[in-house]
Amino acid sequence: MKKEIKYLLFKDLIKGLSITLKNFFKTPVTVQYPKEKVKLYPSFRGRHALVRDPLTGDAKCVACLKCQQVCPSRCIDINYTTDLETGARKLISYKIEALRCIYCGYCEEVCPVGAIVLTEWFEYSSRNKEALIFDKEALLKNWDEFIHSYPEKVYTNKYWNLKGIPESNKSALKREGIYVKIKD
Amino acid sequence: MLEKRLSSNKYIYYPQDPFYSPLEIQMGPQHPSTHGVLKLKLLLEGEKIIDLEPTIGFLHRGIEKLAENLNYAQVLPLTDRLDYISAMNNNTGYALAVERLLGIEPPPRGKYLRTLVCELARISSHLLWLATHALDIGAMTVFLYCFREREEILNFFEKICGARLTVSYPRIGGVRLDIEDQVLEEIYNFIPKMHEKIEEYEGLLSENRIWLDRTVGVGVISGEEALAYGLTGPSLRGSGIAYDVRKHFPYDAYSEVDFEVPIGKNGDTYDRYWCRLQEMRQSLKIIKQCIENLPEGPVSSELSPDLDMPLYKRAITAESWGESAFISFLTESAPIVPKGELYSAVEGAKGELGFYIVSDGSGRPYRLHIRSPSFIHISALKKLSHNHLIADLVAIIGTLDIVMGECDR
Amino acid sequence: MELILGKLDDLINWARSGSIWPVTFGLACCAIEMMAAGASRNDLDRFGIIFRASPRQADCLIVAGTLTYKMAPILRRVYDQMSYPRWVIAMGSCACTGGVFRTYATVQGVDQIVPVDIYVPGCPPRPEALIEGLLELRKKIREEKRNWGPYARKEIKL
Repeated sequence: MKKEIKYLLFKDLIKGLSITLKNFFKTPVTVQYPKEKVKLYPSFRGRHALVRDPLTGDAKCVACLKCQQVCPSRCIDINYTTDLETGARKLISYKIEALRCIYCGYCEEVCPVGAIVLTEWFEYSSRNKEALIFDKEALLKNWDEFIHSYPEKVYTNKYWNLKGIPESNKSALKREGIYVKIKD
Repeated sequence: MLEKRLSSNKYIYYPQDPFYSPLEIQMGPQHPSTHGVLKLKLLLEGEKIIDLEPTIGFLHRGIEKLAENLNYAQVLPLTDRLDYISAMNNNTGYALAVERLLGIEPPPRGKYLRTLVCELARISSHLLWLATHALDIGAMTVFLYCFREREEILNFFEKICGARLTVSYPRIGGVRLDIEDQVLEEIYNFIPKMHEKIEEYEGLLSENRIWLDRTVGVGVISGEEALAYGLTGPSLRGSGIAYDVRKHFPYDAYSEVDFEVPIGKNGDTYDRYWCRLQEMRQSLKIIKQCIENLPEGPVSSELSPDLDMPLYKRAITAESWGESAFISFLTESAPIVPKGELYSAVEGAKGELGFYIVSDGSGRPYRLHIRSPSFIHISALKKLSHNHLIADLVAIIGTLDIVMGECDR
Repeated sequence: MELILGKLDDLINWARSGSIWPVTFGLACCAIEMMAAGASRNDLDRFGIIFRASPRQADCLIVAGTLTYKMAPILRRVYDQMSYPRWVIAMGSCACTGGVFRTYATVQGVDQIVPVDIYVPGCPPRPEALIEGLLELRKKIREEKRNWGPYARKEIKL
């Protein structure tokens, strides 16, 4: 009987509508995206970049091919030459097919020198496919673009030296605290 | 309710009727309420469904085959793409299977963090289910409200690991990296807020007459039948059988936290809805306990394999680089991973998510089979939707919580 | 005459770019982000973008997710059902090139099936990245010339 009275008085609907009315006066959650920039958290896995070494002005990459080997989608292509006298490898070309990448961040993790990063940059949609196959110059340019607006003085990536992982278990023997000094 | 519905439908067609012809309709694969790319072949009498045949495979990407060509660590990002709504659960399930194969165990902090993120993923999955299920039935407001909270959970994921959906956060032998204390505090503050929001959804739906009309008595399945069909997860628990992998075969930190398994009575769409909402509350309870009892220490086991683990058998006593590195491919020595096969299951957001791995001793799985709950739930669609109207079919597809990425793999 | 036509171009392109109605062609993971883009946090209605379930009412196709060979004819049919003018956005790695799924079942890029205007990278792209792609499409529409009336009909030969 009580249930029927409630049914006739539209109690359920009034309860629901009161909730929507309460929410009507709350501040909206919508982010006005193109005007209001989204705050990305550190180490968001976005557009690729090769770190430009502030000392030499060139990429830090040493052509160890670890990133190429570990990439699940096989989107990295590296060419290198070996110096016959010293045995050092020299990078000829470094190509990432951004449209094949799945942004797992494995390449950053295994890189022993902290040369490749996935920057906090996601606005790079393109009208043609070729623009999204990044070669070495494009990757260095991406880095410059990213670091130009980077607020802090020193850049370091979470994945370069994973927090809370035992030292013996890191994918690459990393020099303690890889960082890139941007400005004094 | 069910009897009333059946008795009101007086239009019965007989095959002797010269004008009798069951209507055949193809529903999907491009349909807003089939939750992806499910195609259904319906046989109708009037508006009543008398037969139904699901066609799957529109999202078959060959994940199982692809996994055979990648090493164990590289398969992990692929499991993100199975049940893309709760990627944490898939990663944990796969990592757990490989851990059991290798015989390693994550440290306690890694276990707790995995439990924590799994439950967050379960909440986000249930929120998405509630949003789409309610939208299919006609409640637009719930869709917007659920996505509001879901974005917050995805923000946590982004803070933890840098991605929103395809996280690759759990790792073989622990998790990928530690959570910062600030994020833990934010998650802790989020819990009471989320409790309020769940009450909000309940206030909108639980007593609403339209919601009750659309869900009570729709898609009834009894406990025995549900077991016979192999349903798991909330779809089974809605029928009154308290089977939960987290309770019965505890993994990670589930044996150390206290939670209940909510069960329904009637096994209809409303009970499954109720079960999932209660499950969200229990998940919040688990998250709270996880944060309170979080132990210190490393997050990943020292024995966990490298990302660039070797693919082939390799001599362990390689002397120097040069000739021996080439010879090592030829020498038969101890396998990289133990040989054998195993099945390991976790409680995913949809149901029991199992991974069956056959190992031949090399660094790659010889065969990886995924027991995905969605695939098995689709088989119950015919039983559930028998003698229902087409409009109810939408509610029934919604209540099973099907994700086609997981079903077709 | 050119001046008037140019102004008419601007008017038509302004109207078209202000009301891009995409068809909901959600296939996989990216569809969830597409829904998130349409939901409360990043409200797509702000740009006049309203999701339509029917391809006949839509003029933009967002291919969100992995396209398999089994699904390819259906994508083509949905595309053919759309009325002119129509644009295609390939969202996510899988739709653009096939992504990690270099397998027997996956189409290696939807541009093998339909012409693509905008490629949005990401796996899956953030909702904001999709909005950015849609704004890029809007720019592209504004740059179009003589894509209406008798001019458009000359080029379309079915």
